[in-house]
Amino acid sequence: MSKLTSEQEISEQLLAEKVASLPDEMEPQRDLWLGIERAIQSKPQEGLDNNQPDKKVVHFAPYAWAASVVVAVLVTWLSFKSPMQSDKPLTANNQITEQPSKSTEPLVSEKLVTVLSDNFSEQKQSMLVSYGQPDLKQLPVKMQEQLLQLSQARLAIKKALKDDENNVDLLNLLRFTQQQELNLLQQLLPYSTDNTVKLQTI
Amino acid sequence: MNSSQVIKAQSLFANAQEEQWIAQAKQGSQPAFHKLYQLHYKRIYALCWRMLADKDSAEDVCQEVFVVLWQKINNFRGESKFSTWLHSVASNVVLGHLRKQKNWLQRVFSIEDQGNGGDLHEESVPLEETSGLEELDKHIAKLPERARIVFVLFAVEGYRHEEIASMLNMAVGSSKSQYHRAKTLLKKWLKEEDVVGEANE
Repeated sequence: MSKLTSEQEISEQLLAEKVASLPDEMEPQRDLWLGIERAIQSKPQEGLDNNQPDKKVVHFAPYAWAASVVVAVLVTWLSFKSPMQSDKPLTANNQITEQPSKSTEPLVSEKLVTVLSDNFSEQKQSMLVSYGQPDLKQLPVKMQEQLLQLSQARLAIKKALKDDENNVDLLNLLRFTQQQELNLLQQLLPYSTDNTVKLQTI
Repeated sequence: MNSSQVIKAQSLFANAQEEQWIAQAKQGSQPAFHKLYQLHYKRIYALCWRMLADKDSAEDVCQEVFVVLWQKINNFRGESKFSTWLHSVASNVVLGHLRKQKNWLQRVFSIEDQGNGGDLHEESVPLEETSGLEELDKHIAKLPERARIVFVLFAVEGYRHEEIASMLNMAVGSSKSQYHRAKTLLKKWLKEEDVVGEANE
């Protein structure tokens, strides 16, 4: 009886192990996308008004998400960075004090940060100009909040990069944040027609 | 940043990227929808294959899942993970497909569900369809239809018996007994295979 129970337990365990090791994915033999693409051409989406697109509908969720992600990653990064880095003396302008051994290397990424920032500023400026310099105070409150959060995240990353100028992850994070900000600014288009007040800096 | 932080950051970015594709697909963007398809089709195909135990049907139903997803994506409110929601859409499309098929068979051959859910015989899956599959997947494909569906939904997809009972329009006890039946058969087949393996050695 006990032998039977033990055998049952073993086979139960074996089955559980086999189930746990089943692959999550399988590859179909034919390309399924072609058929799907054809089918969805003629299928309307539920809840989407295809005839009268509302220009004023702006989706903030992805941008809110992006800002939260950036803030979360930054907070984690700042919490875990090594004491060596955090103890680096900063000048009044948040510049790292002169360290002779690092005199040449950081220039590359410092330049990269500058190039990234300049590019971003140019794109942002030309985008706003092309929209007729809309009054950002007239935007929905939620959109203003998102713009503020993203710009704060961008500034925080740039500040963090001064402490760790060769950090590729931070550079990528900066690029990502700037892109999110530009994407959100693209949503300004619906507000560009009735602007009356001049642009203010975000 | 240490490696776990980098992985965490990458995962957060991947989620943010998926969120963007979902938002764009909701606005009718087919390129964004294609990205979502590329991200999920292998998992959805695996679910379809396991539930249907037939390659051609699985491919057709997998396509149907994504067409339904296109139509209903605006119903996704972000209350659960997108993949969880998509799997529930897929499970329902598969079950709908089986119901349609069964109704057609019933009309043509006047077959009626009898006993424990109309499992008339073990499935016979063509050998070429199971080549390259995991050992357990080959056995799952041989299970009687209801036992197979309950097993896949409970053991692989993580549904509760109450949920399965509601999806399959059966009693909770029936779901449990089908699961038990599937387990008994699978254990028996695994054991037989083990014995054959030992004999060959």
